[in-house]
Amino acid sequence: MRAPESVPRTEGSGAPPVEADPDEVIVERIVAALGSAHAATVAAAADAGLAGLAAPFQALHEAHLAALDAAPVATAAPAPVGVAALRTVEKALQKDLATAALEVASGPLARHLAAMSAAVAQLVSQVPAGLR
Amino acid sequence: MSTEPDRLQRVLADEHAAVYVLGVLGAQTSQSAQPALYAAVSAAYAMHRARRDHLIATLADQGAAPTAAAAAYRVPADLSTPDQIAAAARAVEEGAATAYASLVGSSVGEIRAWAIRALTDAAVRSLGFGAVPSALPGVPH
Repeated sequence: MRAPESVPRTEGSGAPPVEADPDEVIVERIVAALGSAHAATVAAAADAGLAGLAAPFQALHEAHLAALDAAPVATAAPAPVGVAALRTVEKALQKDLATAALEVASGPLARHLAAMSAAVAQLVSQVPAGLR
Repeated sequence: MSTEPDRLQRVLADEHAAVYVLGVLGAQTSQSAQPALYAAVSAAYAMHRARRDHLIATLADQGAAPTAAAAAYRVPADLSTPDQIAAAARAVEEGAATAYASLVGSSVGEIRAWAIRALTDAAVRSLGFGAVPSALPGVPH
C-alpha cells in the first residue's frame, strides 16, 4: 500500500533533524573515556606487579559505567601500562569527568559526574608516588 | 526554590562549623606525639578557613550578608585518642563532600567549578583521616 503523498518523508524532506540532547552527547563521551580507562586497567591487571593497584580502578570504572547504564566493551588489549602510565590515564579520566560535570545542564548528572571524578582522585591519591 | 545565595549560605554555615570543629581537634592533637595527624588536621583547618573566606567574599560580591558563625558548634564529647580525633575530622570532610556535591548539582559556571574542586579535595582529604574510598563521594547511597 502506497503512502499518501501528503505524508511527509523523513529523508530528504528538508525537515530539521532531531538534535541530540547535549547532556547525552557528554555522557557518551564519558562512557567512551571510562571504557578506555577500563581497558587500560584490565591490561595493567594482567601484570602481576600491577594487579593490586589496577583492581580498585577496574572495579570503580565498572561501577561508574553501570551508573551510566553502560557496560565495559571488550576492546583489543592495549599495551601493558606501568604505574606512571596508569596514573596518567586515571588523572586524565578524572579531569574528563570534572569537565563533563561542569558542562552538563542537568544538576543531578553534574553531581554524579563530579562525585565520579572525586572517586577517581581518591584512588589516584593512594597510588604510591615513588612507583613508576 | 532556593536561590544561589541561599545555597551558598548553607555551605558557608557548614564551613563555619568545620572551622570550629577542626580548631578544637587541632587543640586536642599533639604536634610532637602525633605529627602526621597534627599536620593533617592543621592542613584541613587552613583549607576550610580559605573556603569559608571565599564563600564570604562571594556572597558579599553578590550583595548578600554572609551568615555569621555561631558562638559554638557540637563536637564529639570524647577526643582523648588519635582515633577519635581522626574520626571527628573524617566526619567533617565527609560532611563537606556531601555539601559540595549538593552545591555542584545546584549551581553553574564558576561556582560549580569551585564546588567540584572542593568536593574532590574533601573526598581525598577524608582518606587521610581513615575514610574508605567510595564510588560516589558526597552522594548519599
